[in-house]
Amino acid sequence: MKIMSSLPHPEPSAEADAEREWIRKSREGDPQFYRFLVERYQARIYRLVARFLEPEHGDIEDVVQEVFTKAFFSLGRFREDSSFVTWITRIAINRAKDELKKRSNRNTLGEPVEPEWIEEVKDHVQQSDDKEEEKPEPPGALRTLVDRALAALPERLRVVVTLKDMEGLSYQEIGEVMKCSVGTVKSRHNRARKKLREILSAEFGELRR
Amino acid sequence: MTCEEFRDRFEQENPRPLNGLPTDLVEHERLCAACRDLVRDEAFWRRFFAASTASSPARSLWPGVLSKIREQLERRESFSASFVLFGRRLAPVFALLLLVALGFTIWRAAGVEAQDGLTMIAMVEEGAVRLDSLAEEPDALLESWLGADRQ
Repeated sequence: MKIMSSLPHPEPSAEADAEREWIRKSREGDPQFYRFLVERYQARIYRLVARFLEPEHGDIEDVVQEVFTKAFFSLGRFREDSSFVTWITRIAINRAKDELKKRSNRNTLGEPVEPEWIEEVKDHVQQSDDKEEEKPEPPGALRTLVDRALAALPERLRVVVTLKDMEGLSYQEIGEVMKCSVGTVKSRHNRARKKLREILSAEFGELRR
Repeated sequence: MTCEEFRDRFEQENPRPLNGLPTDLVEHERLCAACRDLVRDEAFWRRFFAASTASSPARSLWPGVLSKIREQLERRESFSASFVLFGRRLAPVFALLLLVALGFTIWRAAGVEAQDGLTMIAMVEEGAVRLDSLAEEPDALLESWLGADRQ
């Protein structure tokens, strides 16, 4: 792709140095170097914002562009005690949280679950004794259900679940993003899963693991 | 291996897929129902969250970001330009106000100083009168003080 070919590809060992240089040049007011940072992290930030705002929000692109714009003008305050990606993830989450605050927490799945979903979803998530994670194709009903169950979680718990279970960040990384201890992250993660199970059980009965 | 050690290792190594657990963990899991449950629970959530599709941008977001950056820079520039223009137009008024304020402050300070001077003269005069009376009748004055204390 043209975009990717214009992006410098430093060796992994030199990546951090290159990034620091891009940040320094961007701070000096040269947006062309900021472009490299945007193109390196846009997919990750877009995915993250989309996980929070879809399907209610119409224009994810616009929100992500605002996140990067805000970060550009705040580069002077970026102290490099964390990585750029951690820092911009924090900005993106705060922006997404602002959007989430506009909606009240429901604590339920909202609209009633279609009766035919119940067996379909149960069949997919409940397994026999094996630990196989992959199943051919998750039913569309489950996709909707995941989105709706997450939307029913309180905002702080939702952030942890999204970063841990969907984005695959470690507790340590989440702690850095959320500026809290690993212990707090773990506790919120446990609470989030417990709450999700309660929300799901209200519609599906006790889900066997 | 204890259950706590199992949990720590499981959490730290975060094995993907779950059926690729290291042998020592598999061995403990085979013997421990609680840890088996932990692994099954993790598998349940992974299947659950795997259903959520991750969307990605259809094109580079850079042109949009750049135009927003430029827009903000222009807005900032136009704000500072209008601030400068506004300032220039109102400069004579500000100067006049400043002069009035300065004059008022000086006038007030001078008034206070004059009053302070008069007060000090009065205090000195009063002190002199007291010293004079002390020189004339020291005993009477002492007695009046002691009398006041006794009462």
